[in-house]
Amino acid sequence: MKMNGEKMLGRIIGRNATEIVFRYPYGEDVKIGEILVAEDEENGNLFFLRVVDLQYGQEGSEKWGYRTAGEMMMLDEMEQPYSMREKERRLFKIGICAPLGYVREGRFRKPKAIPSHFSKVRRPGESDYRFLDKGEWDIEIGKLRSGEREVDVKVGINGNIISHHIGIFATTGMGKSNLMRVFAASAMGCGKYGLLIVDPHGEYYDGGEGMKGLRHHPMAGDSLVVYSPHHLSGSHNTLKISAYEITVGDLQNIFPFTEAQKDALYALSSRFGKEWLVKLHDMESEELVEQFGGRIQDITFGVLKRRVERIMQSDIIHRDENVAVSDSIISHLSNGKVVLVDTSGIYEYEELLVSVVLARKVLSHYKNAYRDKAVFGKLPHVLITIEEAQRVLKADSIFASIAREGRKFKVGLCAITQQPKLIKEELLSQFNTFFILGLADEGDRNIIKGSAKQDISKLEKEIQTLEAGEALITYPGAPFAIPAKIHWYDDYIKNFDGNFDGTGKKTIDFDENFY
Amino acid sequence: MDEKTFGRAFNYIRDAIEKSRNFEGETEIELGEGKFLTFLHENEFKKFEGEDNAKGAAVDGSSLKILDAHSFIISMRRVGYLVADEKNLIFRKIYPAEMDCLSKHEPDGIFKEKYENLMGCSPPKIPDSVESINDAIRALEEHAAAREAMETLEEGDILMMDGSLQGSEYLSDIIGENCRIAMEKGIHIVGVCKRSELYTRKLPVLNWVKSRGDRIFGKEKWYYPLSRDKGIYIAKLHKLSRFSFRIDINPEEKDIDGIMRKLSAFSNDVSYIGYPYPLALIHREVVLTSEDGMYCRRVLREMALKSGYTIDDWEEMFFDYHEYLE
Repeated sequence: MKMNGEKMLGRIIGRNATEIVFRYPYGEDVKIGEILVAEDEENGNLFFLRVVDLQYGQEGSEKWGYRTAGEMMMLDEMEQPYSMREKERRLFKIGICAPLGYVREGRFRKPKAIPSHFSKVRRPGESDYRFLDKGEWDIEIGKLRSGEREVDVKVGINGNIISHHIGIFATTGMGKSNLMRVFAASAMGCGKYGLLIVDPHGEYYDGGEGMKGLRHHPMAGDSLVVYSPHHLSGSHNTLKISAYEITVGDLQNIFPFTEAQKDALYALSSRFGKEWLVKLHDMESEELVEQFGGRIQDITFGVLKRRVERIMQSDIIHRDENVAVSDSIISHLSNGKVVLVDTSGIYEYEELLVSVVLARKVLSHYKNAYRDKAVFGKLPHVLITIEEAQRVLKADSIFASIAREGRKFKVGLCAITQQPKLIKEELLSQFNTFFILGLADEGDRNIIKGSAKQDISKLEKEIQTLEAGEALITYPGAPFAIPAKIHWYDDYIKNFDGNFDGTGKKTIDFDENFY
Repeated sequence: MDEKTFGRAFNYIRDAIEKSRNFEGETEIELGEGKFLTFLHENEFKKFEGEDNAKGAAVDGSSLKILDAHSFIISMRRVGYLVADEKNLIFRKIYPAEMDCLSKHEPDGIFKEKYENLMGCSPPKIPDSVESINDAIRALEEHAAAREAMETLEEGDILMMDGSLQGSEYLSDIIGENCRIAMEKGIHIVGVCKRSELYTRKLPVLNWVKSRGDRIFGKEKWYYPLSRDKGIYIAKLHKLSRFSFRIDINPEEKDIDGIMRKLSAFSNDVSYIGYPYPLALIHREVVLTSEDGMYCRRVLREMALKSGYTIDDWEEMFFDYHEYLE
């Protein structure tokens, strides 16, 4: 029997507003995570259901099942033939579903009602998903997924919510990098948002073996700006941070300091201003002790100098105040470009230093602009991505500050991690958009369940069974946690259709009504 | 209860077990409509092998007392049949459930009318309680269904009835007529009893036959002719079945082995090893459950309330102190 072009799958048995149970045929293959619809013929509502669990069913008592299995085992052992007639009537399967909501008059509503008894259940057709495609998103991520099946409905997020922070959670190999590449590609195509990607693994520029990188994007020439401390095969800028733009706070994001050391750092900063780092590096400990009237011990300066020594010796640090890329990076971000900072091949502390300095300066720039509505209104939302975010999302870091106050200034954070449980819950709760990919660890899944802006408490099994490239997307405006199959980046850019206005220039329309 | 009470009961049980273990010889077996003599001896067992291709119909019915007002009952029945071969179900026909009021003061009305419709004459005997009438009407309807089913069968096919072909004092003429029609068409009519009340004094005959049969043949198919004259057999239809069943066969039949082979062909469904699967399926189709009874009671009570009667009127009519106690 066909309904809306789709074969009827089963009928609702019952239960309640948070759990709908339906029966479907023995031979039918339904997957956890599949989205189905129940047609309520009595009032015309179309209920969307997400399969969260599957069970066996049989007409007859549980004993019958035990007995029949026993008989089969015995007959197998005796090598006797047997059969089971009318399997389709006697055996069936039960799908347990979380109701997602229902569509009435084209509008999606929260699941405050339940479908009528024995409503027919079927797989949705593409036309059933019209409510999802309201043109409210402009950063395309992939296609809607129903179980393992890809549905020809594109899904993504609205770039205006990037400043409400994004979390990308996945175990290694589940497709974080591909997702980020697709995200960046889509942002490049859209040209409306600034995206800063700090890439410690060097996987975004070239893409790696057999895969394409951001430089292969058809709009890379216009929309991608690359910074690297080492030579790259394509066009790029040399990554340099001036020693004069590093603050005491930046250093505290990278190294742990004792209270005495912190006092000394602030004293240095107070005395020498933006030269503090160079002075600390160049002056002898005895000189410094004398400068501060012996209030700070030489042993303290000794430790600080050793740390600073490492920084000043770095190839990415320049002693010239004017040799710095941060201002030009901010300028590119302000023009809605994707800025890729390749930090592969440098030490972790150097990478962190780059991330910290850039993140602070971006936030500071936007904060300053905020005072002038006209200037601020022309700035695009900007997103700063941090890999292995659990390393740096600590209570008093610059990233924590962005998580707490960035949204007010259109600065969002994209935390990529495979261990969300290591991020403080209070900080995680600041992230409005989650891209949940396969997560093997139960602790990680639990922390995400508690912080997501949609109820994903029943999706434990689905998250557990997500395969590479499959994701759940949650954000406050979404009708439900959207199951997605992330585009494969190489295919995505091959078929890329940018958002041009026909003149060869991108259409850039920054949000002037942010206030 | 003291030890003596248990002792008396146990002695009786022990006596029955001993008899079923050791008995051998002639004994009288009681049926509903009389008795017959049989000789219980191991030499009478017969092994059979192989399975024939088989096609046949299975008929079953179910009855349920919906309400009991002491002076009358409301009863419900459902009857059906299906046609299958040894591999698959071919088609099924389930008659709509029927509901009747059977009065203790004029209990014979419906039975008589249905009997006359089928046989064109009055029944030889009328059951004497409304409960028995309800069962007899169901059996009557099953045999009417069997007659219809036979029209869909061909020579060599088998017609399986649920229950015995012998022992009904009210329906023996109908059964006899069906057997005659079946013989004319070359259809083998059999009755397979899920439960048999064949007994002789303290000896459970079915158990006696089963335990002896298994002891003699082990994992083989066998049957035992309890009465060739009446066509009453006990058979194990699958090598590995844990159960054997009383099987009544049209007494006019000659090729008992052939019929057993056909029944055996139907008896390898893993859910019902040793029992013909068409009978199992038709049973599931027609069975009236306690939920069906509850539903009917509720509908009738709502009709009464909507008609202006009170819940007190209803309870006075159908009050049963047992329900109150439980």
